[in-house]
Amino acid sequence: MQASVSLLGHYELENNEVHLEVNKSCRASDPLMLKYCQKMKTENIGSMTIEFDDESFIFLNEENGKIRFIEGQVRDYAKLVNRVKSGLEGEYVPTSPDLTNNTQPLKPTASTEVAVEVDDSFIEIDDSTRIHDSLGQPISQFQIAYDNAEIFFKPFEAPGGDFYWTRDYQYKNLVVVGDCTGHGMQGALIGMSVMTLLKHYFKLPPTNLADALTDFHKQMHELMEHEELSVFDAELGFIYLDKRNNELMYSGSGINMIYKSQDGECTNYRTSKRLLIKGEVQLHTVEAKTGDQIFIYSDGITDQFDNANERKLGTKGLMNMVRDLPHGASIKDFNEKFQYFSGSTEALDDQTMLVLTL
Amino acid sequence: MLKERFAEQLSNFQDQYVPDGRIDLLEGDDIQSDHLLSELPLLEGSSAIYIQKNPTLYIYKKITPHLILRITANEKSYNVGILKSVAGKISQSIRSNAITSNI
Repeated sequence: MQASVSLLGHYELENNEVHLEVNKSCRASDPLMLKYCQKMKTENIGSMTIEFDDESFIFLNEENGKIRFIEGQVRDYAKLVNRVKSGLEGEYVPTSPDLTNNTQPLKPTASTEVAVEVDDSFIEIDDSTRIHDSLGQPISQFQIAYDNAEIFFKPFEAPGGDFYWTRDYQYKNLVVVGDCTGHGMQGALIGMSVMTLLKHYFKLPPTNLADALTDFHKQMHELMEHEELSVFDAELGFIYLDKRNNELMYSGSGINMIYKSQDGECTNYRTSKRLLIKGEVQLHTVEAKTGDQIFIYSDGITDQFDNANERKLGTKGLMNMVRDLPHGASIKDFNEKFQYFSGSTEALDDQTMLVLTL
Repeated sequence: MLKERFAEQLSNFQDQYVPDGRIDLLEGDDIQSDHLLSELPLLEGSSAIYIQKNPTLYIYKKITPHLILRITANEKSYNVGILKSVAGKISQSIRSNAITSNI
């Protein structure tokens, strides 16, 4: 698949110069792009996108001290941006050799556009990620019922199988964190199905959370027409808050939650998929108080190895980490400790930590 | 000043969409004194600028040539796609309110 570009180039920091490999843009020139690159350098900007009224864009990206930029049509944004991020050197393929190294601005026409070979897998991943992400909600949705809500969300491979979702009712509020089987595309496909089902199933507030969970789990498996696709599964955690009296119920099928009261006492609430399948739903009730904090997380957090790549964080380690956080901790506080623990050791799974403050 | 006229509406949008971020209207000298926008060429022909400056995302959405909506948010809590859609929604609302109230 091809996407047309009308400008392609990079900025050399050492010489403070821009080099245009392709220039068929009516608006860009060396001095103009130089100004943008210098601005990025002086302001320490990671990336910049300028969209124009004619549905085109210029994207600039800084990576390891080098700034690359590209111009194209907004409809090709995802493809071209990914291509720039992954490095274009030696990979772009002009339709005609004489179209390259032209530093004079020209009016763009269909015949002078330059084609860039785009790896199909990039497009599929990026477009899929976009569709997958469109089902998600901004974190501000969680702040309707909670004093504060922040998220640490790091897919092992985009789009990822973890998700978070909430619905606010008149008197109650439901928060769900999910961890679907696998990660990357497989996890995302399952995640989209589960999120769609959640949105329909919990349109109205459940009268009995335990019964609703059992039924929801059954319906989730009925989504699959073929039994051999047993990989279709998700661990879920449900927080059901009664806003009138701050009574909080927690249940789920494998996602755990740490509840931290204002005096620093931490309690880990575990849920089990095995027990849910047997019809023994674990339902925890907490008398929540204003200022208390909830840390609900996927197992990618506890499965993280330390900076020496020898020891997993584990539930106990995470409990200690949360206990050590200051009162009313932010996700930044958590992230700092988590990064200190993991160092440069790569994650093994999607990682989600949702922090809710009552 | 339009930003004063829309202050309450902007505050509501901020509470609703980016409670831990910020939504502002830039007009007149504000545009040139914004440290990220200043000295940038091509502003006239552009409709929006998205800037990622760790750990903050800045969205500048042009409402009219002299009025720009600025959203500032933490990149850990939001992504560009969500903020783009929020910026589109707010700028549309401000534009239509400005027209309705003949501003």
